[in-house]
Amino acid sequence: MDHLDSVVQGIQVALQPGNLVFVALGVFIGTLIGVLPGLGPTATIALLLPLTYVLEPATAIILLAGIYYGSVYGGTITSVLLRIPGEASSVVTTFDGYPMAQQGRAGPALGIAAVGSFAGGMTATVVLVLLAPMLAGVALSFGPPEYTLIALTGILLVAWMGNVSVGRALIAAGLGLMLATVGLDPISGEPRFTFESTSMLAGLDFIPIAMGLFGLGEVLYNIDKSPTGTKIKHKIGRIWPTRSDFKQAAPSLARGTVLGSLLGLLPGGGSVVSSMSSYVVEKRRAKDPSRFGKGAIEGVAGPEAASNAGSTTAFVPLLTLGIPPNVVLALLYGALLIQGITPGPTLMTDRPEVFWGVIASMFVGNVLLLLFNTALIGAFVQVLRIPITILSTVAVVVMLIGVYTVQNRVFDMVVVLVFGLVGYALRKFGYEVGPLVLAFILGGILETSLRQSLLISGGDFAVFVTRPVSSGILAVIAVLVLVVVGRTWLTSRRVANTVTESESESESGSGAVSGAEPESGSEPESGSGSGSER
Amino acid sequence: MSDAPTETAGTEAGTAPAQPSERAWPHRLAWGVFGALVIIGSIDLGLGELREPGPGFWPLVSGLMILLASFTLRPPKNDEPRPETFSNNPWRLVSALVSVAAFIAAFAAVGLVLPVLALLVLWFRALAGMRWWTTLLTAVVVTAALTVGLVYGLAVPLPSDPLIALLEGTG
Repeated sequence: MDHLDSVVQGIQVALQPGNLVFVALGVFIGTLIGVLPGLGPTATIALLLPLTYVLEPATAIILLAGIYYGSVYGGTITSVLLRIPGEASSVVTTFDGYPMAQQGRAGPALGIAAVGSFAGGMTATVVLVLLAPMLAGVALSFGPPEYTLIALTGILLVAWMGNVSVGRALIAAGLGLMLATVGLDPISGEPRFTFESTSMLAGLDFIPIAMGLFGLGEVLYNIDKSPTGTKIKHKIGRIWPTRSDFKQAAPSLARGTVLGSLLGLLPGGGSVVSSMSSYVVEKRRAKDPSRFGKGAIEGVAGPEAASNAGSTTAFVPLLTLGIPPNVVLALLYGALLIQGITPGPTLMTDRPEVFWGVIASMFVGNVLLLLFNTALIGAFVQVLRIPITILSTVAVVVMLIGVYTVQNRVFDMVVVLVFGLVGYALRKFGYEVGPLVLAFILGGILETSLRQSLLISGGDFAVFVTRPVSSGILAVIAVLVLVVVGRTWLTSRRVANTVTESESESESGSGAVSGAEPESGSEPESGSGSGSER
Repeated sequence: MSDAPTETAGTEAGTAPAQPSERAWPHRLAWGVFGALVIIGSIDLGLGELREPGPGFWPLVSGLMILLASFTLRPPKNDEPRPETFSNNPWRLVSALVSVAAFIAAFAAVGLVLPVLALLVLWFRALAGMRWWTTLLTAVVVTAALTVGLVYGLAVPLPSDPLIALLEGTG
């Protein structure tokens, strides 16, 4: 009965006029930035973090969560119309969405994507309602060893599932862990890596780092790009798919929803992994896989349902364990900390209005998003005409002033500038900043829980094996490591074979083939060095 | 992912434009040195014992992680983001960085209005390529909106601004 009361309280919070306005604003901004390539949800949430300081906790998280799942919807629009994914999880939608647009079926592609997103989002919110209280109950029995291993799993999975090699992701994660140690030691109080600067004694704050890496770093990266707006070539036409479209896409929608809901629960999960996995599943199950990549509606429906379901159930580990499973939710974790709330198993009982209010607002947000992405899609497309540099300029000013307002420190603005440059450089050199930020957030949890575990056990690492839950998590980590090492070994063997074959072919051929010549310098290294990556 | 059309995935994700080959050793060297420096710093802080880890214990873990991961670096595969060539016109980036640094210094010295206006004019005109007339109009409108919103709407505490003081008659 208590549980039901809390759910009712959450619905009341979500339906308060102020919160309705902010959920609408959140999903509107989310759709907008999903449409705009170059300004993703991570940068936008980082940008708005300080401004949420003045809002009530539930309202702030409702707004930011709306931006997150709104951007997953909005990212589809440019994927279908321009073959440019508005954000990472929409990459898969370009494979069949754009060919549909080329065939004059942009409307049904966008329509089925909106319906798929709605079905995935709503179903996953129900999963969230049912599953979160159970997991929070279990998590109450977790101690420092379990938290150490869960945080470690999160970092490892993010490193493994990223776009870059595991080595590069681990370096970014290591940098994040190292940066998290700057400031006073949480146990002895001794300064670490502060270089005798009083501003550094309090440690590096999460907000300026996130704003620098994602916000300013993204803006600096886009400065190299074209400052002009984008023109849409394909007509959208009738949005609502036909009955046969629905019939064809319905099983994919269902499979995508289930798959996304499950994958979103895992640390490292979320919309990107879910959409990609769904595409692979749909293609493998298809009677004629050759249709995929040429405008198969199942290739749009499944991944869209999966990405929205995944982005929603990804809230489960954040709200119940206090472990952000991906980078965007790491920013939401930061937003909760700004509000003086530490996410974890007690959040549901200590702050039910935040916990249930945010979840209830997702139902409202998904309904609004279905409306935005069907009836108002033409209006959102017009935003593409605005050059990204103009939006970026305003974003930079808001970002710098915003970060100052959190603690009234000019030092934080300097941190934004420094990490903006770091983010730009990392991206240019082929690294991802996601694992860095996630490791920075989880670094504090990891260090404290590991040191507490060692203090409890008198320095005996067996504490991670003797406890049933922690040993179970350890087994999962071991399986993951085995999978990664196995894949690495297989890949390196394949690469080595390919290199050997291409070298023998080029030796027997009549000379250098166009394109092969500049690559040759890297091939021997990739053959020898890849063995330890994946 | 591997089942997807590779051309579409690579080019449109904006992650893997065709680039010249990349050598791994500068990355290995740079990160290896950085990891080693972190390890030295950690030892200097004091590692403590396993039953009571010292302040350098956790930094040591992060340093080791960076050092060990640096050994595994190799040039990116085809489906991974490659290092990108830097712009032929580095002045856009340099001017953006210098202007942001100048903005921070000016913001601390003279408050909100003039630094915001100057940064907007510079970026709209020089980086976005807007016309002078549109630049000035947009910059003034955005500055006014930000000032009203932050100073009067949200009552955000900002460094003292002589221009606002003058307008309010308190300067």
